[in-house]
Amino acid sequence: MSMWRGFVSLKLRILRHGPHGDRVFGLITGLVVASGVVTLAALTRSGTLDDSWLTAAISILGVAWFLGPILLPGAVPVLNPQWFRTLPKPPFRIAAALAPSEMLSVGTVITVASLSGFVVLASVHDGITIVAALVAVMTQLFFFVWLGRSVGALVVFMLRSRVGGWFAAFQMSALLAISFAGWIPVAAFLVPDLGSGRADAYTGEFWTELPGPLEQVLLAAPTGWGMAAINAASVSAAPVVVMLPLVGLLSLGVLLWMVWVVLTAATLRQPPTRASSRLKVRTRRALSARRYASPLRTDPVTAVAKRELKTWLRDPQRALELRHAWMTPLLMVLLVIPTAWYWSVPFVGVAAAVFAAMVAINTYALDGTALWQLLTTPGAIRADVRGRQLAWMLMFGLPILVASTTLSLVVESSLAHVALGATLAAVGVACGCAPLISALMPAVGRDARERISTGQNAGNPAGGQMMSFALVLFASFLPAILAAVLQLGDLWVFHLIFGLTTGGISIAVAGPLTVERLVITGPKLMASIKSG
Amino acid sequence: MNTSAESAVRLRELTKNFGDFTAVDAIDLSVEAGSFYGIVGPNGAGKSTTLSMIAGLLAPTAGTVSLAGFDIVREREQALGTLGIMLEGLSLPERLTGAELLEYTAGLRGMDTRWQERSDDLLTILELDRAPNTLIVDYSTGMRKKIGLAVALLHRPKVLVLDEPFEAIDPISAHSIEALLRQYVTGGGTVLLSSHNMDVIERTCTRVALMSRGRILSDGTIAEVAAGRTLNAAFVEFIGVAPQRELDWLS
Repeated sequence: MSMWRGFVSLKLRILRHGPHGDRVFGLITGLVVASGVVTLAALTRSGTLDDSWLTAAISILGVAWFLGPILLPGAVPVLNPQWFRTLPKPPFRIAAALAPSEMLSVGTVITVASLSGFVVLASVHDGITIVAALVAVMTQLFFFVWLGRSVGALVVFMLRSRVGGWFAAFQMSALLAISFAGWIPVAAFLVPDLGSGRADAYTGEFWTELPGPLEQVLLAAPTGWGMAAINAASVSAAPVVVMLPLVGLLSLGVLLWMVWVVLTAATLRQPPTRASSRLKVRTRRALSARRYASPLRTDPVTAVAKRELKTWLRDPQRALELRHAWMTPLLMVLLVIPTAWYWSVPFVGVAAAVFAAMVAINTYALDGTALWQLLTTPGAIRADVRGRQLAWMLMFGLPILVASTTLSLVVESSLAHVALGATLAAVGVACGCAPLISALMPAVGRDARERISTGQNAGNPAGGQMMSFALVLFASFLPAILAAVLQLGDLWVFHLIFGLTTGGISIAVAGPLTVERLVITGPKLMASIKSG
Repeated sequence: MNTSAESAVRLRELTKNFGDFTAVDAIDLSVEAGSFYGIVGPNGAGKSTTLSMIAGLLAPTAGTVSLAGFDIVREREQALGTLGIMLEGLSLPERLTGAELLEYTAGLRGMDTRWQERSDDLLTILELDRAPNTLIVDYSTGMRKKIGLAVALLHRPKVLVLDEPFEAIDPISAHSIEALLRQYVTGGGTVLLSSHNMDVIERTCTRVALMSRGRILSDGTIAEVAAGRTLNAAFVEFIGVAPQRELDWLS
């Protein structure tokens, strides 16, 4: 059997027999989205909608292929190239043989289903347009898959170096900041006086089609070249006009495929010996810490909090997420402060609490089988949960509260009391839910003892992140809702009291729930971490 | 309540099933306080599963475990309080140095002021003080075993449960660990360890249990189990060896 067939066969077996809970969830969700794209194509075909909407939908699909590997930097491919490092073949040949297996994925199935909208759209036209649509499906798919794969390989490659790690963290934070606050400059332009209580909003007609320049931009980008070819074929344009975007997609796809092969070959060339974390505690600091360590009885909660603070700074995955949690709100502030909506800057505290919760909801899985020590030390689980909460509060909660208060004072926001109430509630819920979700929904990756860089599988906690996002955001609305229901208007003290109460109750309740969960399911959780 | 002062570890009809597979099959075992007890057996014999149940990390399907008289299920906190554990293949708080890990462990157990002296002693004796700025994640296998032992010993437990403490380590590290364990047993501590290494068991243990397919085939003093042979020869005879034949293609 040739090498590439062996890899394809191996991947099919892993997909069939390996753990596939996440994969099935992704497939079902993706197919629901794909059915939406096909429905859009059918509505476009019947003339109900303009075809620019389908261009936009396919462009978003392309952006998802691009952003996916950046937003989940710890994820590793199903067939990890490092498994094949010792095969007696040149790395470039192994990488090239691995390439066909990369086409087999849930993402490919979802994309094919979505791109079938091209054929639906073309079916009202002549045979040439249908043939062009079929070719467009294949070439666009080829381009998307290799776009995602090469970006993923590039992220893994960059994360191996410290500078690359910082760059990747900045890149992801910038994307998150734009995703969450990018609309604010636009909204501030359309409704500039909202901060003064005047909501003179844009009252023009709703779009029935994308604005012409925007559609042109989307069609000019490679993500829109499939649609460009179909559009050209549908108006019987010259063959070269139809062929050009399709050949372009194929060429770009081949180029990205080559990039992936080169980067994968570089991974295969890495030495087989286990690398070091490259992290050394400074000798003077280590010695003086030892010399001046408190000889007094240490409180277990404090001991855990100290361990957590050190781990946040030293664990590669946690350190990366720590950078995201801090960089993203800072970039959001930079996006918002030059606009007419500068008064909304204190609300960035809520966003910061959301991000800080999202990066802290998988710590038990990240710490891995070290859980044994907590399970076998009397009283350790309770101390661990409270210690994690304390460390989160020191690392994120208190700085967020201080920064939000300072920003409120600096910009003299008329909604400062609402923002601070919301931030207090969000910080409390985030602090409480981070260890709880970590115990409830651990996303298991490589065990802590085997993780030395961010390029290794650290689990995919997307489910837990979504849950914490929803919980913290919902909690942030509670103080304002309560104030409105009780008709307390702008009495700032009530916003603060409601925020403090919501946050305080969350921390108090989440602690015992987390302890109970760990006591009951701790051994099972450890077994699942051990088995990977 | 402590009802059997002479037994540091007592297993009664201890059983563990994983689905249809019986990993530990109704074993009875009694380890006297102050003894150095070894469990030997081939891979898959059920040694690690037994030790995990003793450590409270795995719930038995049937039977009981008592440590210094405390039942691990009904009196979990008291039982764990008597125990020091080092299990094979598990992580530690990996982003701490050795000294930081011992400080953290002392804090987690709420130890009194003696922890620092003990920590210094253990780090020195086990030669871990030579790498004060190295994180646990970067420790070699031998260093990892040593710091694992230090964590298990720091609170001076009554019973020490060690899973493969001599596996995959160099003779010098093995010597340090052996010396420390002897000192601990001389001081009244009880060691229960599992190992594949017959030489180490023969050299260090006072009693041994031979385990295969979830059952204890033989137990007693080394001399009783070996019955005039080496322990290794007795082990091979008890377990049996795979059929041997010449492979032409290897010649």
